[in-house]
Amino acid sequence: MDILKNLQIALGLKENVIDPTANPQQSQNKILIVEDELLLSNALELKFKHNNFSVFKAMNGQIGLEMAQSNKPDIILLDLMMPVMDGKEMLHKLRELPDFKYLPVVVLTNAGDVENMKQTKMYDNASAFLIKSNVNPDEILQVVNDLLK
Amino acid sequence: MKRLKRMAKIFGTYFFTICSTILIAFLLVDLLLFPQQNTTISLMSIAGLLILFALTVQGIYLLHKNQHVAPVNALPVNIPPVKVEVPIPAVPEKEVTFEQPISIIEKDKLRYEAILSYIGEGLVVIDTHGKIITFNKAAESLLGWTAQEAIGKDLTEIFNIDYKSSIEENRHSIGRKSTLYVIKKDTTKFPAAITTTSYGHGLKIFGTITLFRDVTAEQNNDKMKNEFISLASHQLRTPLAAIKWYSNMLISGDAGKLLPEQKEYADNIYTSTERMIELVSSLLNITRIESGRIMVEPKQTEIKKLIEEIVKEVQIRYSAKKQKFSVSTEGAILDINIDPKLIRQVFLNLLTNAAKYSPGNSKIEVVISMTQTDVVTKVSDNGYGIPEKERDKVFDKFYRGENMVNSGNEGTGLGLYMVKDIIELSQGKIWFQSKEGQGTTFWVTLPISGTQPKMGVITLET
Repeated sequence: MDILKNLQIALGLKENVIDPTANPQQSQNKILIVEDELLLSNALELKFKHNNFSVFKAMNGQIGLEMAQSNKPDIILLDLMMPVMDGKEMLHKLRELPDFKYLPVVVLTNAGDVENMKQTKMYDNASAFLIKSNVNPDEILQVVNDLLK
Repeated sequence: MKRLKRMAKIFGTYFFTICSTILIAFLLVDLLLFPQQNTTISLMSIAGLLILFALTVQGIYLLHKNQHVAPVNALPVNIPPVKVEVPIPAVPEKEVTFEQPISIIEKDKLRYEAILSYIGEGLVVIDTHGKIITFNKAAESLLGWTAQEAIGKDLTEIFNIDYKSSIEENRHSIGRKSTLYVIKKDTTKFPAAITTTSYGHGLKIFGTITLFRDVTAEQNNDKMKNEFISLASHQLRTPLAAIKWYSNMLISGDAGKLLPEQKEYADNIYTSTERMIELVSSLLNITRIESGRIMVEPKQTEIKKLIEEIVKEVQIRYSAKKQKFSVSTEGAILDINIDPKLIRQVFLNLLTNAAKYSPGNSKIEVVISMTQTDVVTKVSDNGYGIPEKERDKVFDKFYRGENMVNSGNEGTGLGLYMVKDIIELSQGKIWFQSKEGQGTTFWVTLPISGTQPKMGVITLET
């Protein structure tokens, strides 16, 4: 269907009008969950899918960077303690890419010293810091929605 | 016996003299009057016999006399035995004779030398001039010097403390146990626990004893224990978060609406998980405090405001109990330099305890006042109290009142332990009064001079 439509557009037979209802996926918000613990990333996936989000998952910072670039999420949930490339490094590399300089990133961690993290400038422009064992998925959803407004 | 004695006396000396005189007289007369006759011989033999007899009797007499003569070396009886006051071996109170004291003192000396040689702690004794007089085997192996090398030398040549690294080390620790680094002969160092004491008699000091042992193993154990608790706690948080999230989503109806009973089960799972999460947080905080890595960042703080905020939190949490909280001040209270994050934990704990361990509808009061040197805060409740016999254990790790453990009240026993550590870090003091069944009052003082800032790596969990 798309190929035919594109041919028609290319031949000038049809105007390139974007039909918002044609691809319902585009109105959904895209969230990238970067978390190595399956238990947790699955729970988050369920929560956000339940709330009409398009969910992508990455198991470490390396894959996270790749997926951010290929899927262009609207917001990223970022764990810190991960193998291969941890959250801090991924965030730093992400901010170096022009498209992702201002993308909202919610740091979600159990690594304890959140107070300290908030104060240091080492977490480049993180939009929020949440402690996994202190928050509920409801609250995470709230924070995400607030940042997307 | 007496008659023999008398006889012997008479016969002994007198007899001998008489006989000898008679004999000599006979001999002289004989010689003069009868030069060739045999009577001389017979007379001489009689004389000989008489002399023998006299000698025997004298001998017997002398022997009997000897039995009642004191031996040459002993002291006369009416002088009392000499009391020698020696600090270590006690001389038995007996009539002192020259043979006995040497063996008892010698035996004691051998015993104490054996003890000193083989105790596990290093022992160095110095005299009043500071010269080493005793240096046991453990000291030899701990310090690397032999007793021969050490004895006679000045203490400072052998036993030295590296104050610089000791201070460095203690800066990063709570300071309850300050370790000192002792320098060995080969200039390497080891951490030691040292005790010293003087010994003497009355006002006179004879010397100083220094005992020390290597605490490297103890320190390593403490470090490993802390690291283990930290690691385990971190590992526990992931599955705990998972349980929390899934039960929360269940309760929210994300997986379908729950029947009331189902919701009740899910609520219980959620509550238990919250408790576990809190426990893990407490454990982590304790390991952080013990590791000395906690940073202290004091700033000017209005204590009343801080406490009021905490009261609000606790009130909400225990709203079901309908307890009455009040915060008041006696006079003006200065703002003081304290780390609000840490002091917050202190009052959060004290007020939570007050609420937890008091019945519903009871009163919990906070009164803030000032002395010349401190800000004093009093937190009192009319709750279950702390049993008298457990008074000393209240601030111990994992202590929970006997009367509380079985009451079904939740509690980890880690709160007051942490509170005490924080107060000490803030150069303050904490104490309490309590009557079982009537209530408890805690006092916390914080110096007006403020808390010293401390470099650190990490803060407490909230």
